[in-house]
Amino acid sequence: MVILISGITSIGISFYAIVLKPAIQLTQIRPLPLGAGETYPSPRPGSALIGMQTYRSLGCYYCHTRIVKPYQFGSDYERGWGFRRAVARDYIADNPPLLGSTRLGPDLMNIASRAPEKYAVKWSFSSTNKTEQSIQKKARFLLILYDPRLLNPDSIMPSYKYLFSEQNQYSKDALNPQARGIFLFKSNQIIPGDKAERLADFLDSMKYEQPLYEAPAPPEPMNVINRPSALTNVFKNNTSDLPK
Amino acid sequence: MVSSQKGKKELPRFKKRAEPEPSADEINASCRWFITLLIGKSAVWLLIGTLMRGFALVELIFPDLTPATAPALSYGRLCASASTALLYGFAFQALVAISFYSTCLLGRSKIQNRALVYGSIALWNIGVLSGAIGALFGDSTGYEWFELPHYSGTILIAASALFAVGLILLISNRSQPLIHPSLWFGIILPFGMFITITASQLFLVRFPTGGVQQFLIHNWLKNISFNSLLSGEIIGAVFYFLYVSKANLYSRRVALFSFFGLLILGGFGGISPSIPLPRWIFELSRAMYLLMIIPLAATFLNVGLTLLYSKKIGDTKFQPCPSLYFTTALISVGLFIIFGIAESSTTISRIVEFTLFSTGREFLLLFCGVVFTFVGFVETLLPALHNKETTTAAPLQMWIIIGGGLTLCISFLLGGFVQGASYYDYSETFIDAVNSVKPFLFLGLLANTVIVAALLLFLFRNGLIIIRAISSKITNLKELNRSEVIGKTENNEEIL
Repeated sequence: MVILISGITSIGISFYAIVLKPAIQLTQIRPLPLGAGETYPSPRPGSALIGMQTYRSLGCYYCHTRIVKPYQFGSDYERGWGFRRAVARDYIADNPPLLGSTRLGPDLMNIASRAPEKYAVKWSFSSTNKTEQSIQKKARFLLILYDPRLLNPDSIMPSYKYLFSEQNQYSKDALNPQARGIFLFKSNQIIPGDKAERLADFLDSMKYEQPLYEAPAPPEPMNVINRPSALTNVFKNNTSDLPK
Repeated sequence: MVSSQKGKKELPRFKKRAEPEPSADEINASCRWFITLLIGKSAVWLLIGTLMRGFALVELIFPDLTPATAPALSYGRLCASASTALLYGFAFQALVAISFYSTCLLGRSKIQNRALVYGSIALWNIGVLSGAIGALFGDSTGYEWFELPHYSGTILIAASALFAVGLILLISNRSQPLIHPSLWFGIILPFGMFITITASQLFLVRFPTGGVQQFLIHNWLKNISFNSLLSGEIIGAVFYFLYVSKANLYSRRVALFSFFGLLILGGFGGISPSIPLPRWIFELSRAMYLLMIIPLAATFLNVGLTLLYSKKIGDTKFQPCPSLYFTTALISVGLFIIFGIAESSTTISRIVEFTLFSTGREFLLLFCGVVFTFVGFVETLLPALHNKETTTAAPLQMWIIIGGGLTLCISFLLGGFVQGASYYDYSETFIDAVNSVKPFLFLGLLANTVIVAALLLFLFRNGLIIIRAISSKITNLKELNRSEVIGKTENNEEIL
């Protein structure tokens, strides 16, 4: 009995030190007021919240992370996955946080502000209208979910065709392929289901670009082409540049 | 050595029972079918989990091979379900079997409350089954290794509580006053399972705090499960194996130091500087996890000195087959902790973070540590438990399992390093970096297939023992019935 009680107490020591004590500090983090009633991070729209649960349910976190590493701690910054590191404040509205642990797919933290198929490339749209741009972006997300190899033949991402339905007959909406995410493929009309649409909404809500005091931008501007390979310097770099 | 002799003195508070100490045959008879059931269920879950992992690997290598119309077969869901099968169905259940049997044998205690122990097995397996199916249908929680849906979690909490009560009853009925060091790890296992599953359900599912606090809870739960419970019980099983091989443990005090070291420090680690947390949490986690090297070194020293002294005495009964299983399992635990320390260093973490390296490390503990311990334990125990001889393919099975397990882990660990190096070099595109891992995934798939083949052989060999045991039991029952019938007929004739 002595062994049992002291054993359980020993387990409790690490719980106090690494869970309870940090939790006291972390629960004090509040959304940052931006003025005009807006805060950062802003609450996700309802459809994106539902999409987040689809993301969890499909196990997307097995291949994708939602963390931008600190500058010089990896190549996230150089790959254009974010211009500042991820901090605790970015996740205060998320349950579960779905940080992920393996990157068999690219990091998705700022997927709403960069093109998914190439690194360090901003989204490019055929229209200057913001609503149309949003529709185009969503259509691209849906296309990737439908068949990732349409955009990149080497992609290892599974296809989520079961989130879509196919029809041979064209509806009125199909005349405009960008409307409500409906698009045409091999003369078939592809209609995304609710889950696909909500998942695309969730991906579209992933944008963490607000500059924060605790996560300043890296000291030098990004220049992918002219910088030497980071790998050659990895063992020389010290850790003094990491945020405290 | 000295301390183990001292330990033979009767403890002052321990009241010896009025009943005589049960013999080894009586102990075996009391727990024969209970342990066989636990072993059988664990082996089947291991096979299911390995098959699902293999299928997930096939999907990763050939993404268009599987039909895109079956949500349950998507990579993420298969991984979640496989994790549930491997951790809860196999690892915990297999180690509970070792814990119960070593308590029976070393404490000289018989299993008495059969309804309780059989009920706990049934409940546990229902919980795992519902969890694995729930994950396939998208009900997972989103936390790797703790993907139990609320219904499955509740069942597993009840089952682990029953395991814990069963073990406490067993300990309280023991005839041996002194608790052997291997039992310390065994006693803490079901309680640890109860604590981790309850905490995961409370803090991650029922009352989530949201944000990165949940990452901290999840990380702690994972660390306790892997570093303290699984690693601890593997060490406990090695101590048990030394005991049954008649090698007296060199020092109880050093074993006690290792035990508390693993429990206190095991919850730390797994936090890198890139995790969005205040820096002091990372520093604390890294510093404390670095100290894990001390209990680990103490364990290796203890086992090493035990072997050294037992060789000098020359009274030990080490058989090559189970010895190699336990040796490789202990080395796997050591490597698991050393790689964890390396992973928490800033320099290594830059390269291997978010790569297959972490998966390889977890596989090292599961597929090498727990699997080798489990197979070694079964090879030693099952023939003796049922008084049946095993087939001659034991060495073949051993080399296939050890070869497959090590290849799987090495492919993931090396693949993770190559993957990390490719990511770090941003002149390579992301897709090129992923493609650089494919040969290692192929190798992993091959190793996974070898493990499945070895498991089938293992199930066949040990299944034969159980079938023979059942058939001889039926024959005995028939003979008993016949003798009773003959006896009755003779009585009737006498009356007439």
